[in-house]
Amino acid sequence: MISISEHKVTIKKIIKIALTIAFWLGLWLIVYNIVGLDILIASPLDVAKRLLEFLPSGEFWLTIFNSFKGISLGYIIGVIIGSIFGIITAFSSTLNTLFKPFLTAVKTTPVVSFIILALIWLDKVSVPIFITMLMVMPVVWANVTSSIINTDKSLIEMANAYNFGLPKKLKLIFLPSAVPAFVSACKTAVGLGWKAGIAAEVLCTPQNSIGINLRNSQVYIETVDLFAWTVVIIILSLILEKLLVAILDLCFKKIMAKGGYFIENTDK
Amino acid sequence: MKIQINNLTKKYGDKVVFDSYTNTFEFDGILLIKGISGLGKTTLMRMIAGLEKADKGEITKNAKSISFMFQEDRLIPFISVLKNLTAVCSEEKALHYLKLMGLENEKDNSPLSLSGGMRRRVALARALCFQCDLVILDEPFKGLDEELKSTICEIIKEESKKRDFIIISHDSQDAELLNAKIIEL
Repeated sequence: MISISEHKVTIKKIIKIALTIAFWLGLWLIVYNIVGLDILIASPLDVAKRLLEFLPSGEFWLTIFNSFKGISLGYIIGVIIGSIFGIITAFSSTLNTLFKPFLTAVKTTPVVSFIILALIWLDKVSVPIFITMLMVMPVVWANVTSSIINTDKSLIEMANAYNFGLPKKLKLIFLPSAVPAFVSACKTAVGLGWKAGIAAEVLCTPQNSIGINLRNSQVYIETVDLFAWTVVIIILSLILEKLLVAILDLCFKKIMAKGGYFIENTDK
Repeated sequence: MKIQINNLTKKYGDKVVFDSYTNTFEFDGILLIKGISGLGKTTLMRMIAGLEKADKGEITKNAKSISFMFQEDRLIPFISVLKNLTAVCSEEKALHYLKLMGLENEKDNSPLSLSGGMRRRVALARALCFQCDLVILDEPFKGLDEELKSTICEIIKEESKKRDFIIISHDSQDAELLNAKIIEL
């Protein structure tokens, strides 16, 4: 049951969010009126109309599904590869040193360089998957490695004193120590992966994707479409992030409960 | 139990803890290692348990397996009290020792939810339920009140009929409570 004070807090929160949205829409309208050129800035009303036109279209939903599918696939592959290599490099300082320049290179190189390179290597559909994977992997990899390396040394010594084998050490000490950092990395990587995936779509223009629609809006100078698709990307990014965070939290709680672990997921 | 220490040298940087130290610990039951802090009691026990290497010298012992209770509790915080024990022994044995320590009702709780004294008893239960010939307890009574201390002394005395114990303490009265042989470092 929600108490009166909680109810008041919720109403206050909704009012705050509504006022914030109203402020930015108002500012957009003012700038639109000052600029006065539809080719440079689209009107918020036109963008809203275009968004409403999108909704009943099957092609619109297919486009969203395709982008969502490709980017999600890249994200999952990135998380899996990042986790596996994160564990491997945590236990081998030689491999950790060997892979460090690779991770640094991936993190510091502009994503567009990788997209162009991937366009030479791969087909149009695979590029966003590959790029998303490439952006997600180092975040998960680095977090998993550092959390395992930073596992409480006194617990490791205790495990050695009581002759724990590697599987037992992994199950009872290393993995529970790494789980909160892993979940946190997965959450951070959602936004990164989504942005990089869309950028890859814009450059490689796979059929029925958000990227090709953004690109066409630019080529045909359809500013209203460009703004409308950008709004779609923002909304989808928020939904994707919330959805994945909820799924991750649920999985985290289920796994912890099943394994009988007491681990607080502090990164909410 | 016989532990022979020959010409043992151990340094931490410039600090010399043992310099060609030689001694023989021969005892049956409980041996209490006494001495003021900083003398290297814990370091010596860690070397006996094989947790630390000597710079020089050697330690020979007729114990095949050693259980070591650290000065800190070192309980795994991610798993229940019972799982901390079943990590080193069977569930039946774990429940037996938890009952001995009066902690059977805490078995499903997180070690983090326990008081300092309770955690100490869980750590002791873990050390006791580990299959071994020698149990080394580093300051096992730290944080325990007198009543609990004497209960635990009785448990250790009973257990010492099955295997040998080395207990580190700076309190001479502990030797009386445990009927232990004393060696002063």
